[in-house]
Amino acid sequence: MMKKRTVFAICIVLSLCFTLGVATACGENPANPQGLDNYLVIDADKEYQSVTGFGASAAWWAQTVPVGSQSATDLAESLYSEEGIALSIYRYNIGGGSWDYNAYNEHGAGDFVVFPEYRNTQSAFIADNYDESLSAAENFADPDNYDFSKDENALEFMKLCATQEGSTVERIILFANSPHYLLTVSGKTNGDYAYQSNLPAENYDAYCEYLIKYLDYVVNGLGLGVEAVSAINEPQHSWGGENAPQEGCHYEPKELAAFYDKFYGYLKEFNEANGTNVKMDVFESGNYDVYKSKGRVMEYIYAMSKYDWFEEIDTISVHSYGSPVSVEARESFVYMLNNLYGDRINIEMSEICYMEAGLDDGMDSALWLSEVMNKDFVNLGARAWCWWMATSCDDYNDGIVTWMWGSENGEVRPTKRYWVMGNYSKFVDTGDKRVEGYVDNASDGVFATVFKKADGRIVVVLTNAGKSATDINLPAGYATLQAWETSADKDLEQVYDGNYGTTYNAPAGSVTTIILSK
Amino acid sequence: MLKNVFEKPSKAEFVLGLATSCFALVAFGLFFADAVGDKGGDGLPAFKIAFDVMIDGLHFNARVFFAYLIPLLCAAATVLPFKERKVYFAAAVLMLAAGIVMFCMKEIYLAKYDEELADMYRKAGVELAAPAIVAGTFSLIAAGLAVARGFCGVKFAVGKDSEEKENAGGENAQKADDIKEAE
Repeated sequence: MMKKRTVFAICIVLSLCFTLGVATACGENPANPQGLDNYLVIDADKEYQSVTGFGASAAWWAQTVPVGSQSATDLAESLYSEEGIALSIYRYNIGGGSWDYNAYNEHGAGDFVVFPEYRNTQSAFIADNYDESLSAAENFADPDNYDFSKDENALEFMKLCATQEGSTVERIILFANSPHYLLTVSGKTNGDYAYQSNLPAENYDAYCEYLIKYLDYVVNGLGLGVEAVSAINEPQHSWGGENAPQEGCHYEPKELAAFYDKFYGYLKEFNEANGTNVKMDVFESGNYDVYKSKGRVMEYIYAMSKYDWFEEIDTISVHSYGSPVSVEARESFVYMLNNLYGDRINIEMSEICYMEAGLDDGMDSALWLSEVMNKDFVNLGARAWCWWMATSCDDYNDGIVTWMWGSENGEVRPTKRYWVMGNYSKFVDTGDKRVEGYVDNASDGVFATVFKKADGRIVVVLTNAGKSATDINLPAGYATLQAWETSADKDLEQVYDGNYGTTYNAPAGSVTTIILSK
Repeated sequence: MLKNVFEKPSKAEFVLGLATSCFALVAFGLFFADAVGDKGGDGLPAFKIAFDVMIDGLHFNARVFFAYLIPLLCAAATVLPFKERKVYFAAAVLMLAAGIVMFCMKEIYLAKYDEELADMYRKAGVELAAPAIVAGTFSLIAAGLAVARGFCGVKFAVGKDSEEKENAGGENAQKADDIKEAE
């Protein structure tokens, strides 16, 4: 009879063998049969979303760009041309008129903002013309009550970007952070207190008229095509009380849906009258956090789904502020959305910025940006990707270039964020597909986002946020390789154009766009 | 004084008490793991459901908080060798209740929503997360072990009766033998 110790030892050995076997079986990746470290996996046949563009917002700063100035030319070229980073989405801000009462100079936008007064926005509505004997809707429907020259700088700059030689603008989206202050409960472009629903139902029509007047001016006055109007921005946020340094309006889910129901009708009427197909952009959610108490993203979507027009909504815009580097938060949102509405709802990421005071013109925030972009494309399935303000004033990291606001001939200085965004936007065109691709057995901070162009070429945006250079093992089957690198000492600089090899060395703290051809 | 409260446990009592405590401790530890989640998603830990940060402040959900705190207290109680066995039975009842609450975490999480929204979240795929199921199961196991710990070493009256019957049987047999011998 075997001793107990022998039986015990046999059991231990068998358990170890079993565990090892299971671990080995689970660890093997058929796409990387040799189990190489930092192996770039590409499966071009496995397609995901089509890309619909890259962009940035013109809020606040564009209204300070002098018409016809050198600054205007330089900014337009650096943002919306192949000479720059070829952004394709222009986001024009329909102001709530806070300039009229100097809202954010008095209340303060925080010590970190050099020009808080520029957070005040111009409005084309002439407040002095407001006739108390008429309804708000009648006032805001009257074209004589508008003077679009009040926002001439911003409007003309948009036109310049869209019409300059070699313009890359493909989509114009008009977005508003708050209704005009004459339409709100508080009489301001913020609530009197946090989470105050600031647009009363009786002014839904008037706000629709306001938005349509802007749309009409851009389409018929400036002659620009508009893809969508976004009437509501981050509705779940508080936008009121003491700490309200910018325009914003809180809506409860049912209020948001009821307003959209009204606006949908106005937009439909406009489209029928003008032969256009301007869409209603919904709903610039401040986050995609399905579990956080303040997230509420699913509640807003659910409230909208009660209306018939929701059947026509095929895209939802969200901002990545809530959990900008979380894979799981993104996947929870996508999972829930798919469970409720199938795969008919696409996602566009329409706003994010690096919320830190000062100026980081090094690679840190640029690598962070690349991580957010990667996760938004891969885990959120975003089709479009937009940064918040295109320019900042050296005072805050919410721009991708710095430029002295209001200057006639101010230097446009790109940050590394600008160049890294270019690593994506200059090489990935509208219609390109994201395909299966990742770095297997990746070192810390190494990741890739992979796209396929219509002609079959593969675009890999490879990030090495690690502290040391890493050799990336390349898959077989390609003939040539081109590479453009952004790193501490390179600004989207072409570093290779030649025959395909078996490895590519990604420098520490770099983002490289690699184009592979067969 | 302590001798009046505690006794020297037998080996079996010690092992049962330790096992109960271990299960209860793990159940408590899962307070910090997902309680509700979805397939592949991020989920929400029980402590966040217990201390739910709502719009303007902290909302305290006592049910969830105590459901996870109880196993911790019970773990401390069951590892000690109390003379009074009711301590273990009380711990078992509490851990049973805690386990049930843990199994109801999804409904507790959804309770803050009106019925329509709660239904939306159900359809969206919110589910009881594996750690909450483990916590609930461990709490129930701990409850069972606490009951066993309470009974461990007890000489049941049923056992005495049997012994008496056996003895009585022996006496009867003896009497029968005596009678045979007398005949």
